[in-house]
Amino acid sequence: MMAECGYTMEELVPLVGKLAGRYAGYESSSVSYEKAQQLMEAVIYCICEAQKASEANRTEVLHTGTGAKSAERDYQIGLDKVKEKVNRALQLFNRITDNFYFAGNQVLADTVLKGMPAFFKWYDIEYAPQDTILTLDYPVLRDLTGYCGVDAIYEYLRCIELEQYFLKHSDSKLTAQALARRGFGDSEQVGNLCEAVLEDMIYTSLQGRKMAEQERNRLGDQILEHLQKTFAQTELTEYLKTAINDILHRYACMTE
Amino acid sequence: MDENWMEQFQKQNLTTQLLLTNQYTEKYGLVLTQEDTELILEGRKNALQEQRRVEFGESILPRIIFEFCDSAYVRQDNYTQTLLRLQEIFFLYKNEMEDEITDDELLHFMKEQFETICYGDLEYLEGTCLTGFAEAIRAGYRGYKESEGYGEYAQFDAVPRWDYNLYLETLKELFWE
Repeated sequence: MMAECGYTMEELVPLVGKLAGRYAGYESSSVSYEKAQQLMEAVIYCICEAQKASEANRTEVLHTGTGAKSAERDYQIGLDKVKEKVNRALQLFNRITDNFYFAGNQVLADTVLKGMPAFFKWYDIEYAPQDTILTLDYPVLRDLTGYCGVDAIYEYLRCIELEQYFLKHSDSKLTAQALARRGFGDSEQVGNLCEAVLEDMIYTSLQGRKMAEQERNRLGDQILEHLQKTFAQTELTEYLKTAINDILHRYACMTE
Repeated sequence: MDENWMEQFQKQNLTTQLLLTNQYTEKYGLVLTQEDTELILEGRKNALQEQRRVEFGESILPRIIFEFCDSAYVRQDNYTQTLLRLQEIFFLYKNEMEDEITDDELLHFMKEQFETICYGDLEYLEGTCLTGFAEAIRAGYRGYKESEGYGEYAQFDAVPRWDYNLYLETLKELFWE
């Protein structure tokens, strides 16, 4: 993990020591291994945030020098970036929850409407920024396993915002039918709503009618086999993008 | 450069700090030699490892020394051994009290009981006085924050310290019988 942020243990330990002092209110000369580990992770998380921001913006030159001073400067920049990200995530959350659509699905509602406020209440920017706190039970379509802390929450909310856009702009009748068929309406079923709706759109688009589950599975297998035979991997991606765009255009008021 | 240069540096720094405490403690007849400090620092390392704790900057050892050097039960012949045990007990109870208590509050409590209840018995301090206090803290007791660790033990003491009947009986035995 030390190599992850480009600093050595000798450069990070003084920073962790300062953080431990602040954590204990300068009233305890020692901390437990677990707390020290948590604080070390906090320092590394912030330094990585600074480095990610630097790579993305190409504005701030980081880690030009070596030693504890350089690490401390990077840590401070990273800590500010974490604070900024929390604010951005909060703005995003407020935008999403304004007229939030969850089709009666309790998992989505609980994760976003109950979970997120708890995250913003308990998130510890200084001493545990790496802690995601939530288990994020509602599954989004993007793999977020590489993220943690506010990074994970921010990326998750971005996915939710896109899903909300998709669900709100889709044919409401078709959406309701699709969700009901998959058992998502008024239930605690875990699954992605957009995936269910999009899948329904695809099948309806292909056959021009509603299909029974068995028939859909059979057709799905046939399509997959056909696509794999016909297209190379790169062509297939492009073909699917065009096809989905076409379906979205037809069933949802979206162009992309 | 030596891989453990930080450890070496810290050890050297601590040795100096411990030897400097002699300037204050010699008026109580307590002096640490270079060998004593090495023994104490080795004990510190083991105690921290055993209790899975880390000291980043200032060590607790000089503060233990300043707190206990005027004790009626610490003499030159048991000074090093007492310090070794006190630091073990200190780190053990920082954990047992789940870091709720500050260093000063814990030291004040330890010193007071060491003098008044334990009469210098470290086993009694560790096994009886601190056990009850730690249980109370884990159960949510926070009264020590106001008292800074002073005058706390009476409310957790399971042993009656003053038995009126026993006193009368002894008085009779001594003077009337």
